[in-house]
Amino acid sequence: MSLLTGRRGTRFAALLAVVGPGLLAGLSDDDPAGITTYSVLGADHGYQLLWVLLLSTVALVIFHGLAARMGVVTGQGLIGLVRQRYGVAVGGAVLAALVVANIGTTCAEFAGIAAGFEIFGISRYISVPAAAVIVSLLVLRGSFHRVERMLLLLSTVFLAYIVSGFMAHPDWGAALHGTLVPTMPMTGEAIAIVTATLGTTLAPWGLSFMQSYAVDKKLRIEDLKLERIDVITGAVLTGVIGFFVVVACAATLHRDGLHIADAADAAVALQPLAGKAAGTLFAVGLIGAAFLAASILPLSTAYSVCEYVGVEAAIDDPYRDARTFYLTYGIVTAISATIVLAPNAPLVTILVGTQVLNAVLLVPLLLAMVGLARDRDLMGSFVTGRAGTLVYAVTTVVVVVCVVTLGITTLLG
Amino acid sequence: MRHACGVLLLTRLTGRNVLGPDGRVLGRLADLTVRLNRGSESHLVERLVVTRRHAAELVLPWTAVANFHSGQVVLGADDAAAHELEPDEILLGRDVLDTQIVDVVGQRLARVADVLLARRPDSRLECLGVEVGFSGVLRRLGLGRIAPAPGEDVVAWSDLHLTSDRGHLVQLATARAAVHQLDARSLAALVSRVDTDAAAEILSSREPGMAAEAVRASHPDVGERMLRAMPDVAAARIVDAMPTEHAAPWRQRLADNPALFGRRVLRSRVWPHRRHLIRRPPP
Repeated sequence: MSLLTGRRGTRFAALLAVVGPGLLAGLSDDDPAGITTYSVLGADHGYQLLWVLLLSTVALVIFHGLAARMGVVTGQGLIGLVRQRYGVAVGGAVLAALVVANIGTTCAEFAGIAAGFEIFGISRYISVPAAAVIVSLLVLRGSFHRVERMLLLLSTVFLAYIVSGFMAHPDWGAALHGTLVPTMPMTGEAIAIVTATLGTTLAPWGLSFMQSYAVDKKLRIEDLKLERIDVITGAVLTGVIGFFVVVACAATLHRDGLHIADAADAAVALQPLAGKAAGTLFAVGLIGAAFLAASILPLSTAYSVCEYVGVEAAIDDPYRDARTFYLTYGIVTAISATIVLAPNAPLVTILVGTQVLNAVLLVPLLLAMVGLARDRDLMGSFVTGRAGTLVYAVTTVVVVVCVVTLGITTLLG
Repeated sequence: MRHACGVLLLTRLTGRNVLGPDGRVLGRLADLTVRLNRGSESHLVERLVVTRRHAAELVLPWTAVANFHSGQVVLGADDAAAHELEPDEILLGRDVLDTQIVDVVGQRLARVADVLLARRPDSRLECLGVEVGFSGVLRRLGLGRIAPAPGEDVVAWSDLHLTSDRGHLVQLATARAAVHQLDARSLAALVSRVDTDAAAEILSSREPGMAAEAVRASHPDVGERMLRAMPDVAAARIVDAMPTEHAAPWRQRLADNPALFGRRVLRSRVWPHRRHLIRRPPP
């Protein structure tokens, strides 16, 4: 009899053990900025542009899957690999841009928390510091499993959007048609929102988090098949949640010809149209989404800084063994919360600048990932062949075209 | 460029122009190789890799180098060597620089900022060790003024295990590599810092008795993680080599269903807490 009689176990239980990186990296893309994009997409164009979510889901599956594979095969995070393969200068430039972009994005998450709580009459001077302390304690005091469980639990808040979507009583036929039949009004606004949805689905911090977290989770090559399920599930759920946000706004705001500027506007505007509960659920979803992303962004930054500096650390490490890791986490959180609370901080400029920086940084990062995936010295038998390169290249080109188009439409106003 | 303290840095050697015997620029020095299983105690640079514009790279024996003093490498002969690496040969730039290593004495995982070399009286280059830490990175970024001189944080060749794919495999196959000289407790410290598959390979490369002692000296979660990553037969051989009173609980532990609860254990303690500090036995 085999010594390891229980090795095979039940497949489902094994899947549960592997699940995490794909779900968290995917769902954290549905942060307040993402929810705002989906809300505007639904409010301004109804069900017509839902097909865009299918494309963004495919892009997520492709590149998050690659990040997970590289993490599992090499045992290293993305920034560590970039330093190893491209040297300290390129690695340092990517890291510097990533840190700045991540701080800006964390500002956006705290701004989302502030806006969400203000709907319920709670001042940002209470909600933002409280959120900063809570997310810091979560990572500083928790073990890897406790942190992962808390984050996955927090992710269930996205169910609020699904319920909210149902409560808006959408036209399901039109929604299905809009999802499966691509049509495109050739207006500047429509092009801008389509490219924003596609171009911002893949976030640099999401890619680096995905890879570092797969390493921290100690996933092994034999886990890759199950990890693929995790990645696909995370990406599909991300798309599904986006679908329900669009549907909720399309069935109410678009029907009544209302325009909104952000997700908090949508939550308020939904209340008289779809009922108070729907609006409240939308606001709760916004707060939860912001909390999740505000936890993951400093974590992603801390992983990346440690990988570059060469003092790789993990959530399970105590503070005395991983000072760089925890200090980075704390500094990113503190700076971001302070900026959001500063009375005269140019928050809008910071958020727009961050979006631009994220988009610009995405291009070299995707190219670096394709280069790393094709490096046989690093990837061994998991090296990406010609067919795989073609898929990554096509996806990269689509994303780059979206980023450039978004830049042009933004500049032209 | 020779450093003040007599140490040559790989990153300052690579990128230099390589000149042929006639003074013509052949290309740039891209990498150096060392063989880890040579008879002598020291690791000498064996070959140099030269990249050329619009032509395939050249691989030349170090003995072809006439001098490398004035910021250039001048060859006395340009007879190219075979391109294939010998089984015990690694590239310092590709397999060592900027990769992760395990410092088996300091018990830490670190990233290589530079490779330290020294010139011997016979003009051969000897590999001394690697510099780790951020000061080497700052120096390479041109911020040397705020970085301490090289040598602040150095790991000797005899005290490190390479984690790059080729470096790890070559060291496993090299009898005098650090991995084969460690006692059980040092071995336990090493395997707890590399990825699971590499740890399993390291244990498998030692005889079962030593591997069994290393498993017992490891944190039980780390030991379980490694044994589960091995083929059943290899894991059974190691457990069989344990004293009876230890073998029975290990068999029981490994027989438990790992699909959910066990796998949680496997993922934990990625870089273990420093509770098991090893005191090296006195010489």
